[in-house]
Amino acid sequence: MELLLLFSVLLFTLAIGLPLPFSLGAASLVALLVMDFPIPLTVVPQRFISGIDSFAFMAIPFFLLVGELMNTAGITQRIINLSNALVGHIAGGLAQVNVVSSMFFGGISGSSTADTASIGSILIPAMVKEKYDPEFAVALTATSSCCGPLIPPSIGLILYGVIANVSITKLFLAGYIPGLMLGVGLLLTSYIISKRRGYKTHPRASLGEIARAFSRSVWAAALPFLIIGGLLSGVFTVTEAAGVAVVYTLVVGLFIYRELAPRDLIPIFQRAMVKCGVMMTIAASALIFAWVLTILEVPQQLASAILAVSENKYVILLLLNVFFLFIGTFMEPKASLLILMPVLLPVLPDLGIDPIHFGIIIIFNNCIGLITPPIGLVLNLAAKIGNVPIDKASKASLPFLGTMLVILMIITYLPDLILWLPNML
Amino acid sequence: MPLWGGSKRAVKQLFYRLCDLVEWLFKGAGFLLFCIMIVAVFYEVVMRYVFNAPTFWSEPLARNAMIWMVLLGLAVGIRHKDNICVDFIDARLPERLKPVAAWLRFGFAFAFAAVLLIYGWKMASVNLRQTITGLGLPVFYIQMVVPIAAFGMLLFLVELIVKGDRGRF
Repeated sequence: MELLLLFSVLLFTLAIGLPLPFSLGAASLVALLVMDFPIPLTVVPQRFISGIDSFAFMAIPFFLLVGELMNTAGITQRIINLSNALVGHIAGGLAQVNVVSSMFFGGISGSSTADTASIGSILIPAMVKEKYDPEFAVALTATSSCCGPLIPPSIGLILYGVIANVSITKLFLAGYIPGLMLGVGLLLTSYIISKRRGYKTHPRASLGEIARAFSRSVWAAALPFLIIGGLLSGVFTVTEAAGVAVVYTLVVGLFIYRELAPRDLIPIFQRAMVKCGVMMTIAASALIFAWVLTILEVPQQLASAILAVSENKYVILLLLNVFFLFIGTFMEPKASLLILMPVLLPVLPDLGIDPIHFGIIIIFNNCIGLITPPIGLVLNLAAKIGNVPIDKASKASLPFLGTMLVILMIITYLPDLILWLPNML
Repeated sequence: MPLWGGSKRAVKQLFYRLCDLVEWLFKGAGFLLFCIMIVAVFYEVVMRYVFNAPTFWSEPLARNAMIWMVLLGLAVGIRHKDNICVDFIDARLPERLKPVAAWLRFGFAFAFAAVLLIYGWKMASVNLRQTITGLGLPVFYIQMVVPIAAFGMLLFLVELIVKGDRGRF
């Protein structure tokens, strides 16, 4: 009875477009109200606060802020210039530049929409000017932005880590290899397409030019290495690394590049504040939801239901992948992450699936969801920037989608590939 | 002429001004709280690694500043209609059902925000004596953000209704 109400209220409120924190909260509230044993309702605000009250969570506001600051601080343009000096001479020059910039970007900011917005608004027009097909430019920008949520820092991995209660440092280290695999896969795919279509190649930059581009962008390009270095050496926790990254970006923007003015800061901080508000309260109410699920013993029932289908963890992983790809086509990725995780996470130990491995699989699936219509948040954004109809853009993204599916299969079935870096710690 | 007569518009204007003021306050507080978080975390890193003298107050300070900032941010998010929702089904509803969905959205959001307001206040007011470890501040001051933010949410929801805005928020 409670269970039926819980899920029907959740699905109904989701369907009418109620914001997620309210949807998850209202569903939990209704279930609490009809329970046999009375639970005081003060538990709702209490759990709501304690859901946010986590030091690990604080990495989210900080990395969101870094993402917001990067453009104004002049970091984006310098990263693109450096990438151009490094890979602009390979077939499909700007296409390669696009992917490499996204990989750098992924190592600094944690969100794919920020990547698409900043890199896309510079590189899509530049690619069109060099006679690339606009839909190719849009599709590539969108898919390469998916390096963002994989290459740490990553907002999605932090959310997963807090909800799954696993080490975010380990999750981050696990994200590097799939993120780099995706980057290299996209470089190869765009190389083949560019070769075939004869897209323009830039002249090779001389060593002097590379050195000059490097010296101009050294402060920007050092940031990803500062973060990974700090994490690998165990000097910083993820939250501390995030705080240091904020201060670093502020110092570089205000005093070294001097492109950031103090008066820019207030609106940028406030934009990041609202983003945190709408995102982190979803996590908070997802934790209330998860708590209600445990009271109702849903995880146990679900585990036995899944085990009834198959006891082979690889079969189950395949089914979960198909399920997530399906959900990802019509649900916002963070939403599906936060709604499904409370249900699925408690089941993992019974299935013998490593929660860190599972986290990477989920985030990779989310990335694919970002570029598949009808929702395809990032593809839509890129299509808007490039002024290309969404159906053309999604057709052009098919080869990249294929590459992503191949990599998804590799990371699903070779867990050791992902786990060796975090296990070194 | 009754007091309200003819001045309905003026009252509305006054109400919008009130909403502007609340948003300004929330966002101003958010900026300051963000600064506190950054300074506290960075200070801790410097103290711990450079001076080898970790503090006991910086982590709870930053964490509690974040709780405030996030909840105020959610309230402002309603006014900016920045919330994350599943718009796939709602956007495909037949035209005549859309207002129904809009009112149901308002209803559910009101109910949840009202629970946060009433029970948030109840929760906070019993915790006047209890203090936060490391800060010595009553828990009351942290938990008070729930009713305050819930008040903002209700205010901004009413504003959307008054403005005749029936979109997703």
